[in-house]
Amino acid sequence: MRVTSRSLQDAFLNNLSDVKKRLQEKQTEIAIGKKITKPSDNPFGTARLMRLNSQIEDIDTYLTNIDNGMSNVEMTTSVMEQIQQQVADLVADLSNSLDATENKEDYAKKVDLALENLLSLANYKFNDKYIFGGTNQSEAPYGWNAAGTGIEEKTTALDGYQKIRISNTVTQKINEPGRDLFGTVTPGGNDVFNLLISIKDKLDAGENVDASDIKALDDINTHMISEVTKMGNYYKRMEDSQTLLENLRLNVESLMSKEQEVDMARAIMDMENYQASLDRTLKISAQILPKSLLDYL
Amino acid sequence: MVSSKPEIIKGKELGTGVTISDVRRVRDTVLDNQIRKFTQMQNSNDYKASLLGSIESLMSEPSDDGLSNLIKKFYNSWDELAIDPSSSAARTNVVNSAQRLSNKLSTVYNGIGRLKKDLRDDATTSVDEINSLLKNLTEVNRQIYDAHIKGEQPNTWLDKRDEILEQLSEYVDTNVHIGEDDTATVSIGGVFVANKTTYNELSVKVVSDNGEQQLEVYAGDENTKLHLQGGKLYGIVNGYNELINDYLKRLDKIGETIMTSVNSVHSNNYNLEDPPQTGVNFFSNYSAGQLTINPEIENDPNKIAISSDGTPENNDGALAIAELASEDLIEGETIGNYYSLMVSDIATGRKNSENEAANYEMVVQQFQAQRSEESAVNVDEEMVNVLNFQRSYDAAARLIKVADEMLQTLINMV
Repeated sequence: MRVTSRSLQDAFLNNLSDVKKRLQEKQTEIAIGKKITKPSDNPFGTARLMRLNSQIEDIDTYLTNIDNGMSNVEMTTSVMEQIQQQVADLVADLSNSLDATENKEDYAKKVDLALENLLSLANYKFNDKYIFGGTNQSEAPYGWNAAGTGIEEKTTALDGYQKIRISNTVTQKINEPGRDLFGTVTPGGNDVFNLLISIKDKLDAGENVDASDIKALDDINTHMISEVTKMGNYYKRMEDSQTLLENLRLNVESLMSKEQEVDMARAIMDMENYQASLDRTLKISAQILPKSLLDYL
Repeated sequence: MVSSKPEIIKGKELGTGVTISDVRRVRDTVLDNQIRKFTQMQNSNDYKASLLGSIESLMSEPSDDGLSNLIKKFYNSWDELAIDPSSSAARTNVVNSAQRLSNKLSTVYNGIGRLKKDLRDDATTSVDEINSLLKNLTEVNRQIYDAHIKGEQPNTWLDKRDEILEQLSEYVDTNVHIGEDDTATVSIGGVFVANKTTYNELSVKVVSDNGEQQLEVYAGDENTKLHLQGGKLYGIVNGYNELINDYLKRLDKIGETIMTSVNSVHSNNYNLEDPPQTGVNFFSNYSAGQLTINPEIENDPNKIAISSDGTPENNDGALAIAELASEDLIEGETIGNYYSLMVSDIATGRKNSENEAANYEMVVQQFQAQRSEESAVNVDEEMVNVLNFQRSYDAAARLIKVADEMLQTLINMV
């Protein structure tokens, strides 16, 4: 092989630019702290990273959904518990009234008060929404009929469910439609409101409360307890999903950091190495390149 | 160098030194060919890599404001709306995220589209450069031919010729034939362009092929199309005709799919108007990167339709639209995945081209090293030669000195 000064120079320049290129890459890596700053740094890693990123977005959305759903369910449950409590108290009170022959007026007043309370709870408004309104929560769902003889449903869609997504494929109901809790409410019907009205009418007329009426009221109470339990199940299911999603999020995050973050200790070692080889390249070339036979003649 | 005719005195041969007969170039034509071939491959890959680099930076992935994230955010905004279907804040949020998605899509689309203009400019500059090289080549060819006729050795012109051919191979894949008279006949992309008497000027033109713009290079009259295979100009033409058109088509597919899929759900649901309306589209149009949101919805987010039965808190439509994000809508992929595949295609393309360019560059360097082994000057070698001649000169001088001394002695005796 014939070595000319030209080939020495070329080889030197190539080596030098090679070392500098590697040095620059490491420098960027260390300065930014990320292994992938543009897709071509690692096309496969980028695709993975984008998938993981969108997974995180999904998880965050589901977590927000669940947060909102849980607070909705929690709030609804507490109102339902008040309603149920009201009914349970009445059942106890009215059972006593079976024996009592006096004070019918007092009982009538008690029933009237309870009716008013129940009606206002049924029309409970949270965040400007009537929570028992099904899928129409902008208007009060229950009220007196025009004749003032009974309570009726004021809106349609009282049986509508609101749903949220808690995973790609699973949806979860987060409201208690009025129909589920109160059944169909019509004047003269045997729903809680109109039952109370008929009880009150009887008391007003000085009549005794029928045992069958109290039995009916107690059945309503039992039904309400089961509805409250149903909401408890909703809450539990969302809580479970929440824990699951939070764990998943941690996993995805650690995968992402593995894909993306620079191992600083290693990167700095590499950088030192490249720097040393740059030094060597420069030093050796400085010694060899200018020399020729001429220097020794 | 040849030794000159020796003097013969009384049967003894007396050397008379050497004379220079001609100066010849030390050059390996096989190496020259190889260097040209790999130079054009290196240059086309170089160009492709830098083009894909520009596209890549336009996409700004992976980041929060990349298209992939904005697509995701758009679909997730429907999920948020589902929580509170009649909330005007959540509705405005849907419109906002749709606007951000549409802005980014058009930024990316137009950015890539603008690259076409840059490519066209690059093509024109390259063609100008090629034309001036071809013109020079013809001139040099003529000089070589003249010298050849006169029986001279036109070394400078031959060097010049090789230099031009090498420059030419940076731009295009050349096919060079060196004739017996040392002149070069060149064809590019299968079409003759230059010999010792004439050359054909190249030109670029954008033609429309099935509604798709194509960049084409012609030689001489406008009928002879070049089929380029290498060099920077090939990188440009290929980038224009294949890469960019392909990526724009894929973005079109994403835009169209988002529009049709969202609309098909949206138009089947009811909005919050009184009485609730149905049949309203969410996006009014998609064309060439412009995903337009229905202006009525933009002005009044209550016109967003997500209720399947017309009641205000029903959110079936919002859930159905949010679910579109995980449906395989384009070529068996979800919209998000289809887009990430495109990004990773671009990234892989860039990485490959960069690697290939680096490989070819190394090959070219290797060949150049070989050539400089052969052609370049080694100072040591030359110095040794100089020493050689010096010694001969010393010896000759010594001979003359001895003769002189002898003559002196002789004269003194007289």
